[in-house]
Amino acid sequence: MLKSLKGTAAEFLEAVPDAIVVTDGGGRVVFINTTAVSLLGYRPEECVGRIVEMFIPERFRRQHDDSVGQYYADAQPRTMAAGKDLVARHKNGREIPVDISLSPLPTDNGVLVIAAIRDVSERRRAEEALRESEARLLAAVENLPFSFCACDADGRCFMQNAASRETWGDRIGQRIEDTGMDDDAVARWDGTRRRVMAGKVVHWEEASTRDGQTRVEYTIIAPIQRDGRVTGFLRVGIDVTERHRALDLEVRLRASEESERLKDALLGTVSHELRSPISVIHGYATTALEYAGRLSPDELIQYFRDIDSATLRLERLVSDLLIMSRLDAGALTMDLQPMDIVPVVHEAVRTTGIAARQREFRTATESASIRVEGDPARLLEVLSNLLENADKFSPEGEPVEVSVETADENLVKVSVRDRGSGIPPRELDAIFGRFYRGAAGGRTPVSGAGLGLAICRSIIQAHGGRIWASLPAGGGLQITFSLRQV
Amino acid sequence: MAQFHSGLGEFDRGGRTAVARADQVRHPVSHGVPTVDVLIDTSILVVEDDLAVQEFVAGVLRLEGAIVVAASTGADALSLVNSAASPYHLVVLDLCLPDITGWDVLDGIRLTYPSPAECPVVILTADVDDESRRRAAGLSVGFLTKPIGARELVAGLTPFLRQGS
Repeated sequence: MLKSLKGTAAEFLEAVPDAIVVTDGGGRVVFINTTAVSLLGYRPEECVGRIVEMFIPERFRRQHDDSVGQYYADAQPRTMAAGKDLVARHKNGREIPVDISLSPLPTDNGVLVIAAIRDVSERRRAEEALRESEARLLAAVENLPFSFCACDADGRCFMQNAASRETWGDRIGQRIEDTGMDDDAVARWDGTRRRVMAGKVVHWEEASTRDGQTRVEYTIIAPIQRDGRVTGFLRVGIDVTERHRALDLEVRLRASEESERLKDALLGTVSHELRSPISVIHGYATTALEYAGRLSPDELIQYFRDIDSATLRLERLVSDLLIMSRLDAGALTMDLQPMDIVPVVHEAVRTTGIAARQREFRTATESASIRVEGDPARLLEVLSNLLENADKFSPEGEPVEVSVETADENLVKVSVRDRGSGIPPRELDAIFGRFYRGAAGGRTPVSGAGLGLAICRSIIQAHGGRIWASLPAGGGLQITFSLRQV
Repeated sequence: MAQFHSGLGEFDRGGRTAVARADQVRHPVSHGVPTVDVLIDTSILVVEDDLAVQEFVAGVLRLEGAIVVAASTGADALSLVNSAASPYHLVVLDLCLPDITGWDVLDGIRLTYPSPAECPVVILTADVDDESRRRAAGLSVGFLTKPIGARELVAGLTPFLRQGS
């Protein structure tokens, strides 16, 4: 029986940079090189001839004993206990993480086993640190208060947090499109995925109803980029149902406040605007009655004219209010049909001209007939409103200009321009609001409920058109609306 | 009840309301004679942006013999007040004007004529809230509301006319 390994083999093993321990078939140490001595703390005379398990912490010894037998049954070079964290025991009791490779060495005295032992403390520490940092990252992702998953370039989910599992179930290894999307959704998703894989971030908000509960989720899909290459994507889903509910509530509250404000404005305006023509009617009627004997027929006729025009003002106000309330209730329907806009323009000019006898209206139409899609009665109302306004704001002797032109093959533009003092540029949009009154400082007395342009806008919008105000070169204000040409 | 017997709606002993007579009182036909004579040759400034209302007020006052000047804006009103050789006997003032408020006009008038007696003002407004009425009372100016009939207008203005020529 070999007590210790000597000679060339020993010299050779001494030169190996790893720590080497050689054992015989009985598990006794027959050789230990200098590197092993410094690793394990035993001098050769302290260990040669002793059972190798002296290098193994007590708790692993039995297990080792079993394995030795197995190794001899099929002896070939291999790594010992591959995949397990091996530990060697230093003479002073300290445990050293090690990797051990085993090789059989047949000799005249039977098969010896060479164990090459490598101290892997540093590597184990690095691995441990890596594991720890990965665990921390995973815990952080796991606890994200929104759904998170990461997918590879193929679209398969390789990481998913708790919130995501809660919503979608376990999706590891699956594609997003495997979640039971219909064809449309799959096509949409395909487009999204392609954009994300091209490096874009895509996000949207979507409401869905499940088990009778409506949820609003804000989804972000973002590429995972490594070394300038997109290697997959992240899907983040944030439940914004509550925020939406709060916002809805706020919007509704605002709307109700706004409606209260409008109601107050309406009451104030209506009472003022009603009182004004009523004052005229009552005033002239009582004057005619009180002073009948002193009034000439011409004066009386003028009084009745004024009474009549005040009555028309009342009528206009009442019908504006009625239209406005129908618009609000969504009850004002447009009877859209192919129609000629030119005669409607002429009709509006004619009727407005009756009340505004001193005013010159200049009409310019591109051709004698221009077909649009519209409701003739409503468009007449819009035009009359614009013409009355233009007349009201124009200085004496200045014409009001109306033009109809085809902007392109699809669009017709109708403009009404006055030569008044215009409005401040910042109010170009505000004039279409309800109860807009001319800016303070204007020299033209303003009357009317401030509903006319708001109504015009609603009617034009219901035609699918646009209405806007501009300040043309040369002064005055121009209101233009567009209609679809047919 | 005695104090009520001289006015409108007199009751007769039979307890019937004298409807026909009251009606006649409300709408007397004056046949060329001014209803009151205190307005004759007085100078009155009417400040009102609604031209139809302005013409009605001016018309009635002219029928009563007054010399009426009218303004549609606060700025015009103040320049008329300041350029007049002597203060108007009365200023009829709307509160809602396109440039400044009637209250601003009143302030401007008081800069030139600090005493209400020097240049009396009566506010004529569609604004019926009590706050405006109280404010007017505090500034010693009259307060009439629209709509107003010709007779009530004359009756409402005459007590405020500046005394003297």
